[in-house]
Amino acid sequence: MIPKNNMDKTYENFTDWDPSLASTTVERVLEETGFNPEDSRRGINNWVLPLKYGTIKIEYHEGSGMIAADTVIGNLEDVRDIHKLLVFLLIENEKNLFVTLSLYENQIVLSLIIYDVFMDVATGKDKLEELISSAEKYNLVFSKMK
Amino acid sequence: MRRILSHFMPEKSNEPNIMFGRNSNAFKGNERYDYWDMSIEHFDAGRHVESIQYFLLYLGDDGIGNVQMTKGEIDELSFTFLQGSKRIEGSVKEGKLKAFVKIALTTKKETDLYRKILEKNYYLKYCRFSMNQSGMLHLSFTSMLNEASPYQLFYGLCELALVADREDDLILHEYPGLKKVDSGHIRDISEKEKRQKFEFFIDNINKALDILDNSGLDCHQYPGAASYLMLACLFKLDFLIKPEGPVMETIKEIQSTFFQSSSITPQVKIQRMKNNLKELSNVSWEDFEKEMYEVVFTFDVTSPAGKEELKSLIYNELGHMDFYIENGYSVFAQAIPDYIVGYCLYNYSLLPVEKELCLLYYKIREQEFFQNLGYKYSFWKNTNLRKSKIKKEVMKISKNHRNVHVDDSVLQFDDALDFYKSFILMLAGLQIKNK
Repeated sequence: MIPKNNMDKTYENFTDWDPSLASTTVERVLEETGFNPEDSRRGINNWVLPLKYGTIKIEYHEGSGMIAADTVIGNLEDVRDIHKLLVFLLIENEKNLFVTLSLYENQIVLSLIIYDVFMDVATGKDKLEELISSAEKYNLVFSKMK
Repeated sequence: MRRILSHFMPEKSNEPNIMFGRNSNAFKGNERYDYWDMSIEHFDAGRHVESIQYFLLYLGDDGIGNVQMTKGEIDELSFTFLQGSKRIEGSVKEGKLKAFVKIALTTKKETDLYRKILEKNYYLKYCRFSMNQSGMLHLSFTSMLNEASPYQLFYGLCELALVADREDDLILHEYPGLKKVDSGHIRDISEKEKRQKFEFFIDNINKALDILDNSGLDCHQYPGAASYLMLACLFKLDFLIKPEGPVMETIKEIQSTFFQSSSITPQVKIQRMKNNLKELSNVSWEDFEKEMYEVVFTFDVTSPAGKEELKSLIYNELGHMDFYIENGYSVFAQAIPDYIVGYCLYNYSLLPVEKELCLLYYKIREQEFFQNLGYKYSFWKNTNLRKSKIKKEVMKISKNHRNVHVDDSVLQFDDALDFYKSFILMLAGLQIKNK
């Protein structure tokens, strides 16, 4: 659980927010992975985590139970050989276990989706760490493709 | 002994073996629900492989043989299941469950396609498009065994199966350079049957368009009439013809655009639907023929309708018939019961008895089509309905579903329009007996 004093600070910013169990779990996952939940919080069920090369945006949709963590690796317009990059992304998806590479408009997005009912702190932490390490790996690869 | 055996053997039938509509998994017997409960029980107890085995038993349907499962070493399992034109392969190994579908084999540079499927990945919730080193496009789903609860498996494998089945035909249609793969389980339809279906398809669309243009009813003033007619036509074609590619997708788009709430006026919607219908009537034999194959389904795209929901839909819509009858537009009045049957079949997983009665409705309504397909019965004597034949057929269906009471006394045989209306009322009045 988030320490009581931290919970109080949460309510200073979001007075009507009664954090769900899943949101509490997300914040525990952030803590376990080395992030400060308070600094990461951007709104009700929204968090942003700073990375070496960019940020991870986490959103929790209470209605569907979906917790989506996305990070933008780069933009297609910056790549010299688009075909080569697309093939690379698809082949990487064949190897990846939890994370998915996709395109949103021209952005190359690395995503992790977990459903609240299937998430606990340990699995959340493992998956978030995979997302972070994959993001770093793909940022390096992408910088060489520019 | 012979009497006992005959109880278990299917009744001999001279009817052709043609599937109408898409298979439904929505109503499973009690045994299947026991498998679901067992799957949850094993998962909660940490026996993950056993849980998956029971989950696969839950998905299976002995009648159609859609799921195959093979036990390997300890804690290993492999399985396949069928969804439309696709076979989903899966394995349980080293603490993980992996399931995948082969979508198509690329044989040349397909930059546009790669971009498109990567864009689709952004919207998928459980699975992802990928490609192996040999250029085989896959859609896959992975789960750690300690997370592979029956619920997670159901949603994940359901998305995998439905997306793969829908996308493969569309992708192959749009990118002819791709090589079709993994469709060995599809049962081919004879050339004669395909031709009959093609003729019926084109003929029905043209008839609907002709009515809209020449009925004398101002469809701009009465857009409801036109929508009943066109939707009834589309739902009927989807059920009786069962296209499996772009035509199926177009029907889906037309009806979903119609029902979507938007600021577009009904008149504009009707005009668009009419244009779409005209486009469908131009489908070539070559393209149509590619969509004609029979398949089985493990997951259903529709969900069951509550008895009251169905009843209320039927009574609401039937109430509109009177206006068209009173004003002499019987062709539009007829479109209403046609629409109800089609709408229910298209949007709901009906009870088997409801589905069989809806099929009987079409057998009576479209007798010539069924006879052309090789069905021998005749429900009409010239322009008169054959009461005894129809009642016999209704009773046959009723006897096959002993927990349902079908009240055929409501059927009226003097006039075709009254008959179809009474048939729908009989459907609405089905009573499910408590066991």
